[in-house]
Amino acid sequence: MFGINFNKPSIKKDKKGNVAESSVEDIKIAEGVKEMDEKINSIQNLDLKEISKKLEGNPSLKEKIVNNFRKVSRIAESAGLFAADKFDAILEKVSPEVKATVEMLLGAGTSIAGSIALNSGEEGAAMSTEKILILMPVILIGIGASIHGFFKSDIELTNE
Amino acid sequence: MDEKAMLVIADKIKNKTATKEEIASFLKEYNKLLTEIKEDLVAK
Repeated sequence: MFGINFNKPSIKKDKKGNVAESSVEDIKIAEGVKEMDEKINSIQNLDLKEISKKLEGNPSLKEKIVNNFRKVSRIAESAGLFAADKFDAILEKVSPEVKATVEMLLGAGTSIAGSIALNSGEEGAAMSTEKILILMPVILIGIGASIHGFFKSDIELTNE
Repeated sequence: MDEKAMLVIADKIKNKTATKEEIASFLKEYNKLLTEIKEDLVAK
């Protein structure tokens, strides 16, 4: 659906090219971010419109997916990844197509960050499961980009 | 790690007080949730 390429964080190494001992947690974080990218890419490549139709016949599974996705969104929101000043700007930078899709689904001029807080507020409560499923990759891209932005500015996993 | 524990770390991330170890654990659990969503989406 949408394409995104993140810069993979690199690992601290000494002059001989060995991984620094202090970098063990950095490696875990870098692996975690890489895995997250792969998961997000694999979900965004699914035909969620089609899957949404298919799930009509399995309401309990549909509810489970939506509840888990609300959980993912809730946690991301608590981590500050939906901060209005960051999230909207990041999504716009990532892809104008993403922004256009959100505007089509939510209405032009709607705050992406506000509308995407699926777990709270009247709009979130009223949002249909179909819309949530269609918006899922958009939100995941935003979360992924925010996490990358966070690591770039706060952790600096760079070569020395 | 349950959602409550993840929310605690998430709050630390927001306040820039999370340790690298906590962030690594957070990502591990976050990826587990994404895996579960993906598996459920492609379930027959």
